[in-house]
Amino acid sequence: MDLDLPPDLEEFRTRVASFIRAYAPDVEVRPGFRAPTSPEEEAELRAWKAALYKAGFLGADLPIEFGGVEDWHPVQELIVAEEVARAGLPPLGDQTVLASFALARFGTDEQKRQHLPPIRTGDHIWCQLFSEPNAGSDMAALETRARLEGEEYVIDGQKVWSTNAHWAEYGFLLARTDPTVRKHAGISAFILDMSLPGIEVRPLREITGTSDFNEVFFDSVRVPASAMLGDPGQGWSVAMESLGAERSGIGAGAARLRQMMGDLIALAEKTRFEDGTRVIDHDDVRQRLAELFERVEVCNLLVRARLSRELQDTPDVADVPLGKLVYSETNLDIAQYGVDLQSTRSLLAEGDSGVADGGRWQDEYLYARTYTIAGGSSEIMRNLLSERALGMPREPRIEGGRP
Amino acid sequence: MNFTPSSEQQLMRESVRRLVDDMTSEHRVDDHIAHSPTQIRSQWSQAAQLGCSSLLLPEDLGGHDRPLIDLTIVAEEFGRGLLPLPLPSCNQVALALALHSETSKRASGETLADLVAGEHLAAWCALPALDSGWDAEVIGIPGRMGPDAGIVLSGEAVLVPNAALSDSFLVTARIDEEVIHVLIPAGLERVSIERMQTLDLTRDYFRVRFDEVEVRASDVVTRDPSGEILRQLLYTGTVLTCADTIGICERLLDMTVKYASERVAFGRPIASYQAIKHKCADMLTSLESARVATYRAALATEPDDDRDRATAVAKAQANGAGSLIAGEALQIHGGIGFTWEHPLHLYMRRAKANAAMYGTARWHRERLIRSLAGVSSPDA
Repeated sequence: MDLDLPPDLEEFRTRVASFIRAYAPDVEVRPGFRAPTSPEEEAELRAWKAALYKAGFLGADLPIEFGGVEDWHPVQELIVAEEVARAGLPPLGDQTVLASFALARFGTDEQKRQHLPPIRTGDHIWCQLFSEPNAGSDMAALETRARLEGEEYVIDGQKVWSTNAHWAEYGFLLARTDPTVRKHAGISAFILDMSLPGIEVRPLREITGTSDFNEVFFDSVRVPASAMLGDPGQGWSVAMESLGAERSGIGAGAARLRQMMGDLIALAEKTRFEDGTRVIDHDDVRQRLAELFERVEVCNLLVRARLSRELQDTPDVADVPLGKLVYSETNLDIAQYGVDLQSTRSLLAEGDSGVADGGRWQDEYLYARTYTIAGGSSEIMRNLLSERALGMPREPRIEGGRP
Repeated sequence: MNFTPSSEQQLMRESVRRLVDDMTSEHRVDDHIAHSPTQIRSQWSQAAQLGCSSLLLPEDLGGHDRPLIDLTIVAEEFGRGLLPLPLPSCNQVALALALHSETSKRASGETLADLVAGEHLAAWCALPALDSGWDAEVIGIPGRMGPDAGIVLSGEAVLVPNAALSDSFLVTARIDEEVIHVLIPAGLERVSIERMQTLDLTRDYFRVRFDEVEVRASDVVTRDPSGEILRQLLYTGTVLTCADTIGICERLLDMTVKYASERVAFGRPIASYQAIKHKCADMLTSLESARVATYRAALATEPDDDRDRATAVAKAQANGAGSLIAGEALQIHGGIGFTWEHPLHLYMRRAKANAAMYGTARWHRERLIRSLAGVSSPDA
């Protein structure tokens, strides 16, 4: 065991850092995947993605003929993610990257030829069309229907919590093609052209006050059979394998927490309690900050442990749920503490001249539940850990009543 | 960068585990509590054959030149088996002797060889009082310069593990603000020991009193003007204690999952209830957090701020894991976990003792935040 990076990877890190300095987009820095707030911001983000693909820092694990990088080492993935986080930029492993991974893995040659190049140029942004109002944790209970009519599928239904849907050119859709078999087996994946008639995107407004997610409605949307990604009934595997194996952005969250922790300590140093004493000079604050710091370190170490195991082909079934759980709960606790340390000022928000750090902590606090709920809630993560890592009995499953 | 054990490290873990399982196979609670010196010596001798007393030493001194992470893995297994053996002590003493000054080379060379062979047991005497804290700046038994370049020890060391079994003591003395390490026979005149009463029933801790004990110049192992050797000993002891706790936590979690799978209530195993499942998931999370933190500390190569920080993180996390996991294990076991005869309390007690040795979470967190922030000292 050792923690050192080979010297050429240290040189790689320097290259990534200077690339970021040169090409970083001029966007408002917020946690998570936030919607661009103006056409200018959207253009900046597209250009940023294109630059990353061109430099080989994104899409390095795609097939070589589609811009993949030969001899790409997964630790480089980690380095890129860390440097992006250090620069305060949004994580790279987004819905578009997930789609590109699914295309590379499950797409036909024609589908790859048609869709991978425009992703690389930033011309195509993708959204994820998985969750539904009645299918969140139990995603396999999804009801959006794709009926085969001749050479076309007709899609009816609704998706929710779709990031990017309002500015995406394409969507990675899961729909039910066979209601007669058990729920996981009746799902297929589709490449959905978001400009097709019958698709309506309605922005949601979240507790943050921003509209980062959308509802998407399908009313008799017709797609050619060739829009299916993978085989009929293979949709669940396509989605799960893509979500599980796609590794770009690994460590982005953990690296972001390091930045956040540094900012939290800085906040405690410059803020005073009502009695005039510095927040950081109080025992309970110091203890809590140290504990949060430990958890951030653990987050980063868990990423390295997971990566080490994956590189040796000995992945541990606990790795992904453990990493997600520790990250999301540590993030929430840091955000909450950042708000709490502001005393009476904690009730202020962005826009008020009296709020600390431009209201950053309040925004973090409101956004933080995205991480403990989305992508597999903390409760699901605990189920997975107890069932798959510890071998405890699975929750009783009741299948019935749903088409 | 590789954060997984190598195949050699895995093999070593497996062979130590086999040895530990053999040693404890017939064990009931009373067996863990009765500490037969003959049995301990015999077990330690067997452990020495697997390298447990010599892993860290250079090859020319009979060692295996292995990094601390290897011994950390061994220490986990010892904790898992609740072994009463002097793993940290003997290794700490051997480390100090490996740095011996030229003048005492011959005498301590023999002792070192016997330590390596597992024939000689030694303990480290350094903590001067229960409330002194674990700072390298205050650790050390009070003493003064004596006749013929010797020193005179006058004070006591507390919480010395296995003192009654020890053939010699490595005493870290503090003389006029300077740290000096000496090696004395345990039976030396005016040295007395008294067993302390602790929560930990699996190991014995002692007060060692030095009543104007005269130490010859030839028994000085080394002076330590920068305190670097002392820090190395503290660091080693802290990491190995974290490892012991991790072994304890692993065993407790295994025990708990097994029990929950067998115990039936309201028609099904209690392991099928989500509340129990989620507690176990939290236990696993805490264990793995402490584990990566401990390995990170064990892998530190330079005695710098980075090592200090990593060690503080490890100890605080390991302490937290010991506390959470022991508590939830007991809760999930219900009534049976509350009996004397069930071994669970032995693990819980040992975890509590580990939490106190080498600094509580609170103590480490204060030092951690000082290294990270512009904090004023509490006296300012």
